Amino acid sequence: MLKIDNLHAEIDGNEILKGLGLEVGKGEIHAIMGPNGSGKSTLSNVLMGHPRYEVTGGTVTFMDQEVLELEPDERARMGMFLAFQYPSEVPGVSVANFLRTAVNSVREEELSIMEMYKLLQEKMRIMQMDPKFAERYLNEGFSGGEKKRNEILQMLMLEPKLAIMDETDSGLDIDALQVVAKGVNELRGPEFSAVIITHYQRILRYIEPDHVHVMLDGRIVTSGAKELADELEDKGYDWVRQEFGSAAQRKATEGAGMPEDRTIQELGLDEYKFGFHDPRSTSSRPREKA
Amino acid sequence: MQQKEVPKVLTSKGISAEVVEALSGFKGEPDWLMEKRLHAWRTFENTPMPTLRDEAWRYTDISDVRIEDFAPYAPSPDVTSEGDLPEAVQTLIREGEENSALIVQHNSETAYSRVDEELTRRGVVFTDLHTALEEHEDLIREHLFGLVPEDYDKFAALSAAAFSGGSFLYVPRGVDVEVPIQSYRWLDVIGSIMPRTLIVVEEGASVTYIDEYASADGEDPAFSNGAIELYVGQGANLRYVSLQNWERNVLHFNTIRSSTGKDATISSLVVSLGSQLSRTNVEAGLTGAGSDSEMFGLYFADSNQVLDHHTLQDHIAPNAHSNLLYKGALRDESLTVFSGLIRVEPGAQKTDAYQTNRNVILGTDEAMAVSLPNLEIMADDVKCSHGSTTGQVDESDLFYLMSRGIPRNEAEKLVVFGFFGEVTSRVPLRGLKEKLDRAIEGKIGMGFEERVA
Repeated sequence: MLKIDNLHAEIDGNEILKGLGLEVGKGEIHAIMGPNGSGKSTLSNVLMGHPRYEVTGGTVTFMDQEVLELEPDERARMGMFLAFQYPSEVPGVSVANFLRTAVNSVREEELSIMEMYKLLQEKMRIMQMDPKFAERYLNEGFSGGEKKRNEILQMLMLEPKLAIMDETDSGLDIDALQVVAKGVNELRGPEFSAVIITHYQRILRYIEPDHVHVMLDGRIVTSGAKELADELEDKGYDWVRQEFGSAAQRKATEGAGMPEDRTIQELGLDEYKFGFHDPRSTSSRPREKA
Repeated sequence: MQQKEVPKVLTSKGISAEVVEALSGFKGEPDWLMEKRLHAWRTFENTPMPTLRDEAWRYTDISDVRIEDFAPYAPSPDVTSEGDLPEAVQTLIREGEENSALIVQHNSETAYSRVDEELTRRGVVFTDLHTALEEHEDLIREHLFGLVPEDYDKFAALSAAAFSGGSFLYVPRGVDVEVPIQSYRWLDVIGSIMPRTLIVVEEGASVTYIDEYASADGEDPAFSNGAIELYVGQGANLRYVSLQNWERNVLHFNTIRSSTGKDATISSLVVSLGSQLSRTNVEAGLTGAGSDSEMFGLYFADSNQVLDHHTLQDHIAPNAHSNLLYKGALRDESLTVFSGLIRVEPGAQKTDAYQTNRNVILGTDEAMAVSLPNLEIMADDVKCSHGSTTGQVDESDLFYLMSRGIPRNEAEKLVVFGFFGEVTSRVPLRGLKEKLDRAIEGKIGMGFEERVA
């Protein structure tokens, strides 16, 4: 289903993925666990094709097709899905309108408004969401929990073959976590694979993985069965660093937050959103005559 | 449809006192108006053309605009029936349920006019300005030039001297006009049009009014110089929409000013999409205590268009509220200017005034959005705020939408439609909103996504 081989990727010249390899078979659920700054979010963004990350080496194939050259929407139409850690807010676009556009893009046939409405109602019930939610603007003013539920709602609507879940569990209380897990388990079956990226093993109590991988400094350093998650829980990430990190890596992690490992949000890159004041807006430069 | 032959001097290039006199005579105007026009002409002649050195014109270069190159009057010679009107106008006429009254101005002349009988019965007057002068001279004399006087600026002086066409709406006390009233200006010749709109909404009355501007595509430049005066009486309500969708050969200058009586409300929506160079002044005078003004604006500039808006929220009376939201999108090498002022006069205590301008630049470093929000507060018990933002469409937002299978151009459309949604949701007519959405969609266009990538 998904095969990642020796993947290298960087953002703004900082290498974050340093030769990562992973294979996910059809119907399998894989968990990738790792401490902050290990490159987990970079991996999910690169798999989906975020334009700010540059792939500098390696291959990613999905259903035997090389995907690194494909646009994010093409990957989505092949059946890939990313549940975002920090979904964008898109004012003026309702959840229903957005989902209609997305579902019609991904599915071969266009659903009628009535079919779409019924489908949406059904999926919202699973996610225990108020039907009024569909009329709200996409993620605008949503609480953290609402955003995560909305991500899973989108997944249920699009029925992907492979879901990548980027720290979907972070910041969720136990009730919300159970609802999110229910949504994922809804799709679980021989045709559905998932990569669950997480810092904690908590979510894995509700979505039982077939394989667990530990990520450190841009690589998978060890893999095992679901028991590996329990071992991590007991021993902590320091054990992983002791066991698998290089001397240089250990030294670097003593300081707080390695800049090269920060996520896009932590780097402040979301300042480029509109809504951010641009110096051009008060430019005093008179316009040259055309 | 004009019966008399148009004097040749009106359809030749250039304007002079003789031309102004000929125009007034041709329209059979009373002496006071001819004198007014001639006085305004002298004001026009004595007012220098604005340059980049004038604060109000610092970014908008009009040194290429030569008013003397345009004939002051453009007849509507070929239109003798509805069938001769452009398809867009005929559609508008056919879709009668969308408006309760309609005047189509073709070039400088009225080509079509219809007012629902029910409105006439309730005392509503809607005619072109020249007819109104014959039938309601006192009302016109009392209000015309009251809000956009000849000394407002050079273009207002020109309008006062040489206006023709235009429309007059009078809504008597207490009358609630539920279905909007529309005026449509169609231009298909080289030359100029100088329409004025005069609206008087009496105490407790309510109406929605739309001024729409469109033209045939052409190479030769045309010039539109408008003045809009909106009087909203005590407790009355006016919704005013201006939709400027000229082809690029038209230069557009327009000043929209309003006054509000005690507890009156006015809401304006100014949309600027077309024209090579478009300058619109929108000024709301909060002249009655407790009055309320909402001002919405939408502009979308592409290629090397220049779209310039100057706004004023002029708080004269106490306890009044005003809120302004202007949103703009830019592509290519376009320039937009938003200059907005909230002025609170000394007597205007308990004023509540807000102003926001937001611009989004679509995939280019060549476009420039100038945003100049300003406050001038001369009272001490007021609440005022202003804000301005300009930025690119965020790549992370597009990535999010694309990751759901939505192709890039569709994702861009969603983001831009979403951006404008706050304003377009205010458009009072379904047909007009669809027209606006189509125009925005056309503006988003193809090719822009290649530049982003």
